[in-house]
Amino acid sequence: MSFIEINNLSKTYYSGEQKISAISDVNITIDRNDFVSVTGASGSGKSTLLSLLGGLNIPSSGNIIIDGINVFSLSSNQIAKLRREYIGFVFQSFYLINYLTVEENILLPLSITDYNSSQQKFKLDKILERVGLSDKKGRLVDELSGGEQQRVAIARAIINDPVIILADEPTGNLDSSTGNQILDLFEELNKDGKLVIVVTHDDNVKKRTSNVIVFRDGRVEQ
Amino acid sequence: MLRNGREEFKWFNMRLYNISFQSLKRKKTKTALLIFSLFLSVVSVITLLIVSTEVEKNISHNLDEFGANILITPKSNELNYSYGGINLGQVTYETNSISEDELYEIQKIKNKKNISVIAPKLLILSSIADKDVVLAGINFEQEIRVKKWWKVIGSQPSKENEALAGFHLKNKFNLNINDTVTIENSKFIIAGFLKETGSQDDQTLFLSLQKVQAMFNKEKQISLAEIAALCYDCPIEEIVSQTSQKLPNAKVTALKQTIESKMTAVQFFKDFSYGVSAIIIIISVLMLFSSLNASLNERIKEIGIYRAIGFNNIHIIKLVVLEVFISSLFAAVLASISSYWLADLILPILTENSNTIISFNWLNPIWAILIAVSMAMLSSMYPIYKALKLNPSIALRSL
Ligand SMILES: Nc1ncnc2c1ncn2[C@@H]1O[C@H](COP(=O)(O)OP(=O)(O)OP(=O)(O)O)[C@@H](O)[C@H]1O
Ligand SMILES: [Mg+2]
Repeated sequence: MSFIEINNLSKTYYSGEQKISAISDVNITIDRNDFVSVTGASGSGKSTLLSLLGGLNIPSSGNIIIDGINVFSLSSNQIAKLRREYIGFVFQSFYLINYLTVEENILLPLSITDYNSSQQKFKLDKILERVGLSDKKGRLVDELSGGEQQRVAIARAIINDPVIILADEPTGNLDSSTGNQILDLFEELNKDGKLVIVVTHDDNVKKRTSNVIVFRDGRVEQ
Repeated sequence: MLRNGREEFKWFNMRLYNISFQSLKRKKTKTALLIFSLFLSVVSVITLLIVSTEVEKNISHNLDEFGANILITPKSNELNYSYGGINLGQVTYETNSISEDELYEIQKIKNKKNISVIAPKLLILSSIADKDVVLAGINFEQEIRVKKWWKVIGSQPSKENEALAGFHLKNKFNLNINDTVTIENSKFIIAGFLKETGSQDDQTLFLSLQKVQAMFNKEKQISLAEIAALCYDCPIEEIVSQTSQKLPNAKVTALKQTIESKMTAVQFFKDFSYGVSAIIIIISVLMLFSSLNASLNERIKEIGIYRAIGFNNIHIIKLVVLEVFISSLFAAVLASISSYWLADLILPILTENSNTIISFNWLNPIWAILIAVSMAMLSSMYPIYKALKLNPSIALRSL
């Protein structure tokens, strides 16, 4: 049994009279230590798949099993808990909270846990070092470069030690050398035992991953 | 270096409330606008509340002081003497009386603090130089307080052997100040007389109550009493019924006309200020609502981020509610202080009384907090509700 099992997954959006089949009848299995890239043309359903994997969206049919848990049989609070404990999200446009500093943004996931002040500090220092932002921790995130902002987002995604990292075009807004640094980070994280799934248009990214899933019109190409 | 050192010191524990605090602190313009608009509406409502209460007190105090509004007469009265619009029957005063001790039981009723003036009277039919005269034994201090329209020429009697003459009585006997009249072998000096009142008082000679009681062997007896009750915060019917219970041998009558006009004036002012307050609150809620709705997309995205991190609905509600609560508390405190200051400026203009001292009422800050918090909650509920209902993946796309 694989760590993630996606079974007959479909998602149809309704906008007015129109039915948009974002993904249809998708079956994928992913193992605990995979580094997966998801590619495909624009509108082929990559982001939809990622949002379903993270429980940010509800499928029209089919199911997703993560570590034996049937995600969509859970209540919304349980899904939130699953996200908290299993999943770290990274987005193309970073999605940082602009009125919080670097350290406050990174600590957000811990603000609803029982970690005390010194545990928080310990984790924060370790992660700041890992993403190379120790000297910027007191800055407001708007003052950082794109690459730095994405590193804050990655730090925030991993501070709670999730098993899975879901990244939607994490290098899409960065130049290639900055993008490569981010990919280096993902590679390291994968080596440390995290399951990384990256949605990307970038062939560079594809080359560095262990599996490539290609989408076309909402279906997986074999 | 220094910066780093400082940062080591101010290390904190990241909790949900930190997010709310930082949001308030760093989005200064937004916070200031929110607090200011809450402040404006709360300060107007609370100022109006204070001013209307004070003006109301002022109006009713003036009206109450203007005359008696309760009349106490003996119960089985078949008299036909008209006094202040109330029929007192034929002038056979001797037949009926109330004891003074019983009268002062009125000071023990539940609403005793509303009793402002008690003016007892003993009426006796007597004679001066063989001509009939109505004598009224009164308590001059109290009587003058319920008869604001009296204009005394000369001086108000201050000794037992001094008298005050009604206008017609003065003419009938051709009296002058310092003249002496003899009644039942006692001599009285005319200390002053009244300008014409158009009432029974014009026919009456006013003497000290104790003196009249002693002269006619009616110690501690009175014929009637007029009461001025301050009624801005109690219904006069209440006072009448409380008094009736304490004075079983007396008939207690409310002088309806005075009361009704009094109450309409006061009620009108009250209704008016409540109406204005309601309008202010409705307008401000609508304004707050539309301004919060304008920043809805930003809020929705933010909430989408919190959800991606793994916050559940309760976490998000706590976050937003705390933020709204702190701002409204702040606005309420500012408004409570400012409203006293504002009321202090406005009141002298409205009441033509420059030394009004506004009494501090704990209910006002409580009202201020209640109004501010509920206004803020009411207008921020819909955006939160909308953001929470939204699918997080759609919330995140709304960038
Ligand atoms: N909330 C929505 N409502 C309606 N249609 C949607 C919604 N979200 C996605 N879609 C549609 O579903 C299809 C798949 O969208 P999705 O965002 O998954 O594509 P994508 O592969 O991530 O594209 P891109 O590479 O441009 O990000 C598209 O046709 C899109 O228009
Ligand atoms: Mg996409």
